[in-house]
Amino acid sequence: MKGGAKMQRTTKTGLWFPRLRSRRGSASVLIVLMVVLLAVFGAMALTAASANLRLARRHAEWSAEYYRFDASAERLLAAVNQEAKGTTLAEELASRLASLQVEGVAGVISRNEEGRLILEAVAGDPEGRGIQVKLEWPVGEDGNVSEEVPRIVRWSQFQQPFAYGTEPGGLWDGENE
Amino acid sequence: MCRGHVHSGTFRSSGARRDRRGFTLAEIVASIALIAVVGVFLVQMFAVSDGLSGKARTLDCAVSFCATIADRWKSAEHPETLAGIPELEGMLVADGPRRGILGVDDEMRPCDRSVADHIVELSLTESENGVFDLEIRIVTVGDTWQPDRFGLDPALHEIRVSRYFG
Repeated sequence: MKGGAKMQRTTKTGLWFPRLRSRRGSASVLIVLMVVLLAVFGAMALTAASANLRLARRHAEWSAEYYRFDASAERLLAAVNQEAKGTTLAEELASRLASLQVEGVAGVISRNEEGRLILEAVAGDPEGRGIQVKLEWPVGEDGNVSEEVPRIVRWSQFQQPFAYGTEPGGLWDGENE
Repeated sequence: MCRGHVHSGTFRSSGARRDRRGFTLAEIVASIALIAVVGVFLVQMFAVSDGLSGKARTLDCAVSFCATIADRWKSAEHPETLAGIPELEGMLVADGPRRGILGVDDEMRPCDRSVADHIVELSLTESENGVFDLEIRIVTVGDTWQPDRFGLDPALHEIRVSRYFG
């Protein structure tokens, strides 16, 4: 009687259920799952490493580009100082500075404003990335610049299309708090 | 008859327990073969990933190293010389105080040139109007690198820094 009941249970489960519970091929399934898992992790590692290298190359390009812009700005400063040695008259110096040609520097603007001679320029691409430079000379009542060496008011990196404020860009103003 | 059939899978006729759970030899062989075939490609994939990560790390270190030297030089009091930059201690002066080479490892730590992975080439020039130019190049050491090949091999990373010293 007992054996009959057991037999009944095994046959009642139908044709597919015993196959579902079969352990045949479970090793292969395990290995296939493991391989798929490894392949996914491998692909992720490859993608991450590739993205990392791409980012590192871009960083290297940005760094080299920054120092190229900075070099242009330094050459501008040298050229400006050279011009300032030639004349002290603010009007004349402003017109000289406006026609200044320095490699890698664009948008040179000079103007007299509220007792100051101001020069603004962009080392790099004004529509893309570069270094904004703003130099200033105090102008006396006689119309002459009172200092030969300009004061650097702004020397900051920018990248369009971000909007930047009028703050000097982290430059020390030369005064202790 | 029925009882014998049911028990035949789990018990021997002697009554000892016989466990049939586990993997057959054929399954193990098939699994190992599958791992061997697919594993070759997977290991290659991981090796390539590791190579790319290593390249990225070396390039990042090179960029940092160049920027550090550049900023140290730009803030130094005497731009006409490379002396006084701590990162360049032990540098072999190639041609006067304005040209030098330094052996570094993959992480840009200074080391002996005979075991170096990279060579840092530095050259300092003075151009017109009191502007000094410092060129920093990091070159991967190959079989052919010699001091007389200064500036000729393709660089892993290079920057040109200028400073006005009026």
